Amino acid sequence: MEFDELLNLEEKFYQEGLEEGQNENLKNNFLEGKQFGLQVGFQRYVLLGQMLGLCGMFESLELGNAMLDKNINTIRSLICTIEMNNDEENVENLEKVLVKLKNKFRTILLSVQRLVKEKNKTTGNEQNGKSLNFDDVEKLSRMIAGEMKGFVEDEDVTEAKTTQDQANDW
Amino acid sequence: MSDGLMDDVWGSEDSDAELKLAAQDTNKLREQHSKRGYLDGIVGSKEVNLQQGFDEGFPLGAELGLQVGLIIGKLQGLVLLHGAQDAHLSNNFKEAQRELKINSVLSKEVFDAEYNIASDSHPLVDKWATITAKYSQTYSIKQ
Repeated sequence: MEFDELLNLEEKFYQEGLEEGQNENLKNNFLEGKQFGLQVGFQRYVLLGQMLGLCGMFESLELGNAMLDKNINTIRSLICTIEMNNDEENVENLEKVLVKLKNKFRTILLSVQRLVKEKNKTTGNEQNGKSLNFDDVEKLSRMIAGEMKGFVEDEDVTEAKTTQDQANDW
Repeated sequence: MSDGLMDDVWGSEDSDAELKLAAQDTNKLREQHSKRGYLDGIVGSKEVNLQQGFDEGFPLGAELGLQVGLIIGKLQGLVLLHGAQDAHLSNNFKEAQRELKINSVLSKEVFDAEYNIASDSHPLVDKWATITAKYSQTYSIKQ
């Protein structure tokens, strides 16, 4: 075999390997990004869903308070403005909307508490004296969306490191 | 790099027999150089595709988070109103809090190798949506 031929062969084999490695790399990165996207998406939306769920419960109490109904509708329309993707403007919008939502929701919780108390007084109902404050709501959503264990694989990190070490050896 | 192979390459110009790399040497050569290429390729830029993957995973994660939030919110409301008189409801609420945590909902078993939900719907989210709907009906809660 000629010297040039041999070099070409080496180059050809190298390119084959390079292509394979790059494809593998792209696929791994994509899946790693996807895992992270799933996690962040989930974490961002738990509290929103929770507020919607609670609003539905409060409505069903039929407390007959126009201000409360208006605030609940505001929560719904604010959440409707949030689009479920990670575009920059949506992320910015989400941050702003979240502040408004939390404030509105605090107001809602306070009025529900007050109205239920009044209703119980007039009906002589002693039950349902429990109340819910915003901390309870946030605590629950943090607990649900909180730590992430066992999803992002540790072995991937080790593997990547080993590959890197190997590459350095070469 | 193996010395043997280099000897073959460099020290064999005179002999026809030795000039020809044996098939096994070609394989060795392929293995060596494609491995080098592979390693260069696999440790390439991390950034490429990470964002694309993130953007694809985000909406599904968001949808699951919203569904889980809805269930948890409804149950929290139901427990607030009726939990004192309904032990089943209170227990279910506690159980739901365990089963709907992020690491259960996003557990690997639910997803296929491409991180799509293996079946059309999420088993835990479905399970708790059904249970919650049942309680909503019991307590005449609309929607």
